[in-house]
Amino acid sequence: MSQYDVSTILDEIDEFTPDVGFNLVSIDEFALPGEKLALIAHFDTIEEAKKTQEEYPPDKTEIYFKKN
Amino acid sequence: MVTRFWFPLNTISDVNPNFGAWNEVDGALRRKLVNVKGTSAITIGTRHNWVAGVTQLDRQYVSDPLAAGISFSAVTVKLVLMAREYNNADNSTSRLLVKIVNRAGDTIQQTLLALGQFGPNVEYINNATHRNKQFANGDIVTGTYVTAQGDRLVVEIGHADIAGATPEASCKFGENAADAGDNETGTTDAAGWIEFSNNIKFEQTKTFKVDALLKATKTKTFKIDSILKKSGIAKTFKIDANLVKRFTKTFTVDSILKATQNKTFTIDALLRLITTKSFSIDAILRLVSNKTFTIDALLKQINFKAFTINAILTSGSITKTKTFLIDAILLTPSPEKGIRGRVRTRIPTVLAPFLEIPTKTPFSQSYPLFLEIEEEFSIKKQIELNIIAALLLENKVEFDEYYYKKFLTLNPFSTQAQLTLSIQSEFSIENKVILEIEEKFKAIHALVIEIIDKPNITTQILEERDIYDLPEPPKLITLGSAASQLFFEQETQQVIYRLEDNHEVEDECDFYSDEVYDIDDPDKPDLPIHPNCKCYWELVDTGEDLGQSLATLGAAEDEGPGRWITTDEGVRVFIKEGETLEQAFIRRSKKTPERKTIVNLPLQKYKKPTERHEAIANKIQKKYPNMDKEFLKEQAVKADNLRVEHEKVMTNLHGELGNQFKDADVTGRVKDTDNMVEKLGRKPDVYQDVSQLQDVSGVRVVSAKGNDDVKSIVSEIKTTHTVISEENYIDQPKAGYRSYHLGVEDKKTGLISEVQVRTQNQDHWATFAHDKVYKLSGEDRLKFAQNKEVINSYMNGMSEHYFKLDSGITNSVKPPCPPSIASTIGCM
Repeated sequence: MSQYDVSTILDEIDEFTPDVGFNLVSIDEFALPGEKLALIAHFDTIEEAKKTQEEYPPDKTEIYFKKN
Repeated sequence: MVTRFWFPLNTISDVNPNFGAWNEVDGALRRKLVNVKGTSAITIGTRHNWVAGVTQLDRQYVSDPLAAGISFSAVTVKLVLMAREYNNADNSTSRLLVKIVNRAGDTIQQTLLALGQFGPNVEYINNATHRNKQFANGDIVTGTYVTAQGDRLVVEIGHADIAGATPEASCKFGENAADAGDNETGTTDAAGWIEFSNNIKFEQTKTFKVDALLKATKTKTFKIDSILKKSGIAKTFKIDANLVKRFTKTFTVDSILKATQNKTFTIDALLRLITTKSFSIDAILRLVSNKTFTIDALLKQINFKAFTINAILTSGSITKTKTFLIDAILLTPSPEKGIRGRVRTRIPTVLAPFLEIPTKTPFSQSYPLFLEIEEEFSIKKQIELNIIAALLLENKVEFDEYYYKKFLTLNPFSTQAQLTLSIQSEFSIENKVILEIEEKFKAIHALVIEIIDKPNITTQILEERDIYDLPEPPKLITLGSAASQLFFEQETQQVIYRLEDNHEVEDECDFYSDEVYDIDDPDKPDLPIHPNCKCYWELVDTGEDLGQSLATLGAAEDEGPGRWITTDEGVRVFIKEGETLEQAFIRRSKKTPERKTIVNLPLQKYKKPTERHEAIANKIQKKYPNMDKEFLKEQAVKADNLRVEHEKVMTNLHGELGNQFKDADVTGRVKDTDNMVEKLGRKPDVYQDVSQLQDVSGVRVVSAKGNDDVKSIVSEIKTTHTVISEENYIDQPKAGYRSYHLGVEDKKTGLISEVQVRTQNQDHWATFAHDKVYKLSGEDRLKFAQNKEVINSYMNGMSEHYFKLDSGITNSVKPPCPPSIASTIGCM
């Protein structure tokens, strides 16, 4: 039996968060934490990322970026 | 050369020799004597009391197995340990016993120091501080002995008293400090030790973990035989203690050595590639004719790199699953066997990539092929053939390839199987069928394909079509040609690729959907892309009235509003209003009574990499620079193929489970191509090919009831479906996550879907603890990062709380919701 550790999720998000720009990432709701994310595409602007995000089913993607 | 040992605080001994003739052994502990200092802290052991005048055992320490041939003759022994007594009147002091026992610990080989007092006969210090005590200070062993391999040293440390009525004493054990000085004055915490004046060596190994072994060797190759000779001990070992992601259990090395003459194999590749269950090397070797092979080499030749060894073992009671790829077996051929029959031919392995079958006339339907299998394995098994079949559209399209999978079950001792290959001819075109056996299949020397009545298949191509005695087909033209002609006549420069409204299953057509091409663009795909293709070309609007133009081509008859046209090829086709020529042809094709439905063909068009695949390969290679881009591209294509197959499997399974458990909420998904390929980069040691992924398709069954209902659902699924693996995360939660996971095999395709069964509460928990966290804003993530412990505690508490509720414990108390959660994802 192992204990929940939110670090697993936060670490995975960090892995998919670019230093610069915006990553559109798909979330696999069937996978276990730490294996849920996959990069769809990287964008220079949030507008581009959001536009592409609209092509995907709602709630299945997320845009990760670092706040400057 | 002297040998020194230390006394760990808690490390348990591997065996349990009987204690010596101590008067009292209550509270005595048994621990491991180590020759490498560990990290256990120096800690006070048990405070013992005993009846005055007798001996009290404190601890027994037992070593690992010794090497053979160590002489204990005139050997001296020193032992220093920190000790104290507790009452002024006690005068407690040390006692010691040293002996050698056999490997199992159940036989005394020799007593080296009989239970007694050694070292200075001075009582322990009596105050709050322990002090060094020489339990032995150069005492010579009284018994002489030369060790047999596997013997163990046993040191028993205890106490007695010189005077007093209520003796009490304790020692300090542990390793994490400087060694105690060889004196009776030191009071600083120090590690106790025992030292022998001879050189004591240990047996090389007894049981070992393969993982550790692999880390220790650069070549990753070793000879099991030589290891066992050095160890000379039990011939079983665990292969997988550290290979967390795998399920491999144990196997018997002994059987390997009996079964093979060579006694050499490479195990590393095996561990990297095998993802399933348990196996017996012995059984594998019985299947291999020459009994000498390198597993590593074997697996490198297997393109799919995933198979269930269990299937090989299907000689009796072991196997649960029966699927594996043919090359796993057929790489061990003996070509002399397996060739039989009146007419036969081999697939010329590398020299001739294509096996050509005579041209089929329109509406022809099937070809019987006989696969003659090298069969030296007395087992029932199922083989999977991977074949590329090509429809060669005469003079129009060079190849139209389809990718087939065909499962055949071979009975024990069977030597051939019939594969009926059905060819769809709905397009009313003459075609030649070409089979290409995939690369790995071609390399199977022993496989023979026999085609009845076709003694020389390479020469029978177009000329012999009449032997099929089929009616002369109606003269039709290929769709693309007619359409191009029409477009040309309309002076249209561009066309758009369109899907019909009822195009439901995602396939290659989707890649082209809404793409605009110049009419003469050489990259413009040819239609139809595959049988049952629900796509067509649409003219780019040039401002001209197409309907008006068509009106000049013919007069409407009895098929409603529309026009008849006659193409250059002399074919008359009725085009309804608003319909393109392609649509008209498709409609007509569907009405053709002789149209055959594909049964065995095709699961998926064999795709070539597209820009999209290249993009996937690029981004993943950027993230995992060690990955080969071409490989990733190939995997992306393969992932797309797999997705299509899994989509069907998942849809079926979803429907079945939905009908089966009407009170439950059933959902399903197929993993994205991106995610599948990403996983190869993320876990290269576990997955080398997307076909190895076990969770491509998943179905979730959420019960409105409790844990008992979940288990009842699981039991029922086991009776109605082929379950090849299961993980009970309900009783053994993984990071708070509770659910029951089943690997369900699809009978037709052998594909495995993951079925997750859980309660509503567990589903609710997962949504909060996982999905919502992934959707946190950057600021809220920071909040989470700063409050990890509180959040973890809450999530674990809620997991437990829900588990209790689902188990019928109604008085479970919900843990308080911390502000960092209340203000972000909200409380459960």
